[in-house]
Amino acid sequence: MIKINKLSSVVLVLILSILLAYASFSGGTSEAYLFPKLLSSVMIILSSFSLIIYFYNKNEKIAEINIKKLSTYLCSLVIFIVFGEFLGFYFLAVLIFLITCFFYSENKNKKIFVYNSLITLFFILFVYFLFSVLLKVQAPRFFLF
Amino acid sequence: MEFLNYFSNVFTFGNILILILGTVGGLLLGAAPGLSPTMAVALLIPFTFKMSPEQGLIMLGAVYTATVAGGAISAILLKIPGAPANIATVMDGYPMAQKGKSKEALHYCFISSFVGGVIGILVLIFFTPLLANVALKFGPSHMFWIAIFGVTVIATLDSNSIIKGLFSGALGLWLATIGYDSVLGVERFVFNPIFSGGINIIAALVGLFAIPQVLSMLEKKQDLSDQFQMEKKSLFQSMKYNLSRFKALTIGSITGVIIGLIPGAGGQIAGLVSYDQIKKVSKNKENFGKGEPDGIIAAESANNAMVGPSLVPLLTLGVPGSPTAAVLLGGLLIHGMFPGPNLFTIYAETTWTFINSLLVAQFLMLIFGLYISGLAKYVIKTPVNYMAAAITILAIFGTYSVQHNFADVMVMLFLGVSMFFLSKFGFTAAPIVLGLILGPIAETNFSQAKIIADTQNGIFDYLTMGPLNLTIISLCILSIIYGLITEIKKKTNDKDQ
Repeated sequence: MIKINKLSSVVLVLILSILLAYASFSGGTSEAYLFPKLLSSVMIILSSFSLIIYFYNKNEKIAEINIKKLSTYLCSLVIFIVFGEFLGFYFLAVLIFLITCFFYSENKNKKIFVYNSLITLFFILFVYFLFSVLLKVQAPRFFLF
Repeated sequence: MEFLNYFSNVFTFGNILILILGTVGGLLLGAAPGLSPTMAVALLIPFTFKMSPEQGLIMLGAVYTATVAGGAISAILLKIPGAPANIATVMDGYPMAQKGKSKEALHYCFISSFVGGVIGILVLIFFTPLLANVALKFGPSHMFWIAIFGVTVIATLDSNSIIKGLFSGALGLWLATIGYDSVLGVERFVFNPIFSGGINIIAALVGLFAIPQVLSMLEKKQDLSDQFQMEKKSLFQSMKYNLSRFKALTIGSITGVIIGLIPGAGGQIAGLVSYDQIKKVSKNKENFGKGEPDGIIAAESANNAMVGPSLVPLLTLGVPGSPTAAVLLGGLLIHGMFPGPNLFTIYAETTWTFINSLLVAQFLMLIFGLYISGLAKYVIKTPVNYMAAAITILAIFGTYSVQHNFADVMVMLFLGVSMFFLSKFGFTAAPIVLGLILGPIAETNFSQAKIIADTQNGIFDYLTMGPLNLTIISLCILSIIYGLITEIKKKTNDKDQ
């Protein structure tokens, strides 16, 4: 469980605005960088305001992130990003659908797995019909699909 | 009354069939995250090659109308706007659904879309020549301020902290500068070649809204049916209530018509500005953001009222009033029809049949939209794990289908996961998305304004002089002041409690 408080929020805004200002002002003297420079200056001003306001308030906890619970889903997204083009969209879509359905299900038994597999099959067929047949989208494929 | 001469042309068997197919297809495509009106129209253009110009344009017009309204379905049920035009609908639509009033919210959405849509098309029919001159009055400085106004409005509306809202808007505008500069052609912030085309708006829209929602659903592991206990309210009751909200309907429709006329502004600004206006004049200000029907009524009537007027500058001057109208221009050109006076003389029959079909499409959109509202309960009853998996897969394929580019999918997933973490820090997605959408409009017009201003009294004078500039700047300042006052009031109330 990751805990987030007001100070971390202010620090994030400050770091982000400094990074973007650095990228904008080190880009060059071309007029193409004028608009990003203006925007990053506005962001620096806004983050300074949030720092000033922070000193007048308490450092309260504002949120929590249950990273352990989300790790399975996040890992499946990483797998998709890394192997999406090589293993094909439909193959990985089946994998993501099955993983999300099974791991986040209340009951995990053989019957549920078979039920989830059937749902996955029908949903992927629907996606195939909508995107590949109807809209002619040529998604990356692996072996047969 | 020339349009009446061609009204019967719409009611041939073939044309009505195309209208029905376009409307139903548009509603379903609009409801799918990632499939925006612009993309739906773009995808259908090749299918219209083999049709007659009349039938092709009827199909594209029906899809345009229906996708704008259909985008509200996922906005209300899943908190994922189907299109940028539905961003404002999320603010009160989703809270209404959480209170068990999703069917009622969808009723308001389609009835308001119908009212706004009909008003917009009537404006297109009766005021086209007159309004074309109004559209010409907007120069680069005005367009720049309109884009900034859009960002300030959403920053003050959709955030608990005005500083975080404005920061998010500025961040969105900055992210829009990634890639090639549209005026000078200089490559900026391209750390990897995959970013040379910039961040795709649809990828950002889907990622920033869909993925955080999925992560949030999985983290809480709460079924939608646990939150949404469906309340029964008849269509007649919804219709009666909706039509009694005269102020919200009027503000939404008028705002939609005005914004639609401004080239490049689009439905997202129409929805947000009307939402902002109704919130300011409403007696129930404190209910906005918590499920106030007026919020949905104003936003949805505005984004559909924008459809007709957005075609005015397109048909008369060849200047599209919205991104979708720009794609529609392609549809006109492939059939050999060039915008301008010829459309109403040589091609009068095709043009008026197309405009009349847009009016008929509004009625079909209402009928089929209300029918689909009745099916909302099936979406809500879906267990959270199936819903999360389905949204993820649709988001991936929907994003990929825009440009057939895997990098868009990577950007969508990266932005989505980042937005989930940013939301925990108190940031919201809408200002970032709107910043990304309006960024190119703001920057291109700023650059053009600078080029013009360099030959005159300088950029400051050029951007701040003239009644139209001063009016839009005043609106920007007023929206920030209003946001500040609301935030201070809210914090004082919280402390008192």
